[in-house]
Amino acid sequence: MPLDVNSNGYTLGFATLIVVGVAVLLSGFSVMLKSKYDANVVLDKKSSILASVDKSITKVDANSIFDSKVESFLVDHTGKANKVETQQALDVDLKKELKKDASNMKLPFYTYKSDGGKTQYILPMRGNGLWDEIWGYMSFESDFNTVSGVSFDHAGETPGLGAEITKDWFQDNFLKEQIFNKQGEFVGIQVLKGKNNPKNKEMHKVDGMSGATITGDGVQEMIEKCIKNYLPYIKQQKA
Amino acid sequence: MSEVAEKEPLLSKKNRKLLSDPLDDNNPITVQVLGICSALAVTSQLKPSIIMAICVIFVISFANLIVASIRKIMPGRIRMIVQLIIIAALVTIVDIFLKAFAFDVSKELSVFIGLIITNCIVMGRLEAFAMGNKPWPAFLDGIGNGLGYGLILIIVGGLRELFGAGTLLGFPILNADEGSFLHGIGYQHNGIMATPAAAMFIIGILIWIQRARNQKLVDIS
Repeated sequence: MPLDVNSNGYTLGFATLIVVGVAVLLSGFSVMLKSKYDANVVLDKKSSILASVDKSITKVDANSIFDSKVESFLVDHTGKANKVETQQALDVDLKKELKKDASNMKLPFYTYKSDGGKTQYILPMRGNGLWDEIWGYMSFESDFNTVSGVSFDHAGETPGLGAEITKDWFQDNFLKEQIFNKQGEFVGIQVLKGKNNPKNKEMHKVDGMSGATITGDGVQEMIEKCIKNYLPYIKQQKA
Repeated sequence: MSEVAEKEPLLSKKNRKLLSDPLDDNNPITVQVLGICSALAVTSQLKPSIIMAICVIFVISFANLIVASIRKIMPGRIRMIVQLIIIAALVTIVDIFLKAFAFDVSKELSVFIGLIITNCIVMGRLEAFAMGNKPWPAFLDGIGNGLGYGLILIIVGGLRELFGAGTLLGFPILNADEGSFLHGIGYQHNGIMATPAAAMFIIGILIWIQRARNQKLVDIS
């Protein structure tokens, strides 16, 4: 063989060639498909926001329904809300925002006007599951107390265990739950270890997932921590 | 397609054996005992098992093809790194394509796609077969091993979802829900089947059954 494939120079050259070639190929693919991917991400966000109001809305309609029925706001710690462009609210990185001082937070929320003219409020939330982040949206009736729907999602929970938070049976659990007790104090919603007693269902408590207690605790903590930041605004709305 | 010029037909007996052997006699999971980690992780439900199987078949067959094509010009000292780069590139391509064209599937599989890179079957076949064979047999070997891996994955995933949740692909079959196909027998789904430990038991039982049937395997072990 004229070429010594094991010489140092050849090895270096080959490695360089392979690495550069693969890098060019992959970045090519990535750049080519980036716009499609970004559109998917935005659409996915919009459809999960809408899913917290009405689960029957499909991804096909999500864009048009979102544009016609949803308004976006940013709210600060004093409870002052400003109406903003949809994209501006969608672009808020909730994870970064939640780490800031309460006085610097600008948190997005959405309102949904149903055909009957009723307004529903949709709050985004973000927390930690067992393996990775979990997030979701929770919508409230116009009393800002009764849950009218939720949609949760996750990055890395186990299918069949923690990933059950995306399933209808778990999310339907939250319907008609309330986040304030009878005295008007904020209590959040507790995810039980195990199930409710079917004969005597207690308010503010939903069935947990067997085998995924930590993910359930994560959901509970996420709901409490995220809604807390909106309390000043909620109080104003209720007053 | 230089192989066409050779005397050996594309699907000669030897080549067909490359496809069929990994399904039973030389199954990557139950005989070579490779790829156990992902077989435990993704098989809690049938759907991710099937998609994982398809993705692995794609990655392993094309990685085999590429490595076998460049095996003679590949420097020996860095061959494993080069193999790894090729595997990682293919997996990344799969990931990018899923994100652009099947966003929901990619969301569902999330980390598992990336984990194909660490699937020992892929690297194992590259080292054991693709480094010493022509591209076409290597490609077939990749498909065969991917199928053998997928077969076990689908059996385990099916059993785990059926007995763990009483459903198959999300449709109620065995659970106590109204409208479930067999709800009359009153089966209560079994939580342990949803945990990875159950996959270990099922794979163990599969190996047991296979060895009881196939005396060849007992002799070589």
